Amino acid sequence: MNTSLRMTVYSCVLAALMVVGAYISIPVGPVPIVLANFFVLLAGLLLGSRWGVASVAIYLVLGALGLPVFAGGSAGIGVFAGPTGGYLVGYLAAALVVGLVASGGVVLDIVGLVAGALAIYALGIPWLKHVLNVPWPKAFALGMVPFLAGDAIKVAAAFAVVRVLKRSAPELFPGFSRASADNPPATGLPGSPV
Amino acid sequence: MPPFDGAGAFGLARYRPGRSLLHLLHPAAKALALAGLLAAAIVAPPPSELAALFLLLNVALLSWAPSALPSAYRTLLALAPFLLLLVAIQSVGVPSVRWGARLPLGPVVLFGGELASCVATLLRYADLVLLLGLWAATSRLSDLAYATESLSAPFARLGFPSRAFSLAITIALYFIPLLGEEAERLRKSQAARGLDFRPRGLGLIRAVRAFLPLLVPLMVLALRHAENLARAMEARGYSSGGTHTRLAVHPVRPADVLVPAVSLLLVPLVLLDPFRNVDSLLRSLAL
Repeated sequence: MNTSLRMTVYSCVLAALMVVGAYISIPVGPVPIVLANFFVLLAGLLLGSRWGVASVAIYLVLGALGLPVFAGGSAGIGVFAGPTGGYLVGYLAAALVVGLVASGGVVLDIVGLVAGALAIYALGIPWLKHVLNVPWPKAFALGMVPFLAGDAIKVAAAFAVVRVLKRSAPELFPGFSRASADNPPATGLPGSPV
Repeated sequence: MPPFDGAGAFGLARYRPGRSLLHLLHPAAKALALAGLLAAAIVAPPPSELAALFLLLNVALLSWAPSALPSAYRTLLALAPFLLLLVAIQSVGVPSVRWGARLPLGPVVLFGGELASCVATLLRYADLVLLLGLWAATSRLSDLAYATESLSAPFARLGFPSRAFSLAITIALYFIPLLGEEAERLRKSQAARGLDFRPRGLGLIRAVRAFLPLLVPLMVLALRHAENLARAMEARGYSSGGTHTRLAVHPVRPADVLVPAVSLLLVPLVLLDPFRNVDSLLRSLAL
């Protein structure tokens, strides 16, 4: 099968999941969890660094073009200049880091996911500090501390979801091209696009 | 967990059919006009130009897509707490805007300049939301893909994969409502089976277990859709970098040049600050 076409489609699906994830919030702890960055981590883990970054880039372009796809329904190029702009650019770094570090092994996958989650903060907090003109401790208190518990859950969930997928549906896993060729997936599902 | 309501979540981005000037504008021209107005709203000096743009956008929405106006204002209301916090952080306590009359508000003393800065920030966000609502109400999602391909076509000569890029945008746009509906359907069916998505306690493993019944089936469905679509596209001769024809073709008309040109001219115009006398008057009144 045409790998480039297949990976393009998978990247688009992950980008669409990031959009959907921005609208799904789960009440855990003081700050509800939004799933957009969960799918960013998953994109790096499932698609690797190159296609993971492509997937995030598609998501960011959709938002920059004016579709209300960022958290809270915000959109437009202006969001990148706002306080959360650094986090959005950090998504690219997260997918890149996860894709580069994760290798399919338990330890490297976990290290990659944690490094990816931290990469979002590495770009998000300095930008937040710059835009809001607040000192470093306040920037960390505003932009990192409330989200740490949620991010720990997302890292663990991303790891668990990929493990479950690899075990229960290996034919659908982009990295498993041989399994996919040997076991083509069922077609004609309800709501299927074809 | 609040339900994922595809129509509600993207209410602002819902297309309203019509035959207005904006509906019939070439998608690329409309995207350029949007870019010009967005830039004007971002660079406009506060606050009279922003107020003028706010008025203009309300008139345009009322004339060309009146049914989009309530969703635009609902979005603004939903963003209100976040906007007020942002305004408070950005505008209050900044030395450069601490001018004008003193307005005591309990333990806090506001200055006229701080109030003007707050109004400008709120107007800027309101302009951006209304602009987005106006564009979305008069553009189909397929127009976005058409505009992306048209605008990125000149860069194809420099090696930019404009067709692959446009194809990616089209596929992503196709999947957003589909996966949104799947997520909502899965949430309802798992809830009907007695699953509670709210984790009891703060344990990491418990919290992850609460996620999995939604996330694993959603991922399986998403990957299955992706695999099916990739196979179907390959069977129909698609390739990510290949050429293709279009079902709808938009010829370029004089309005398609005029509207984005006027919109792009607004950026240097607002930088010249034509309403500076009005702002000076307001400032002197505040003093």
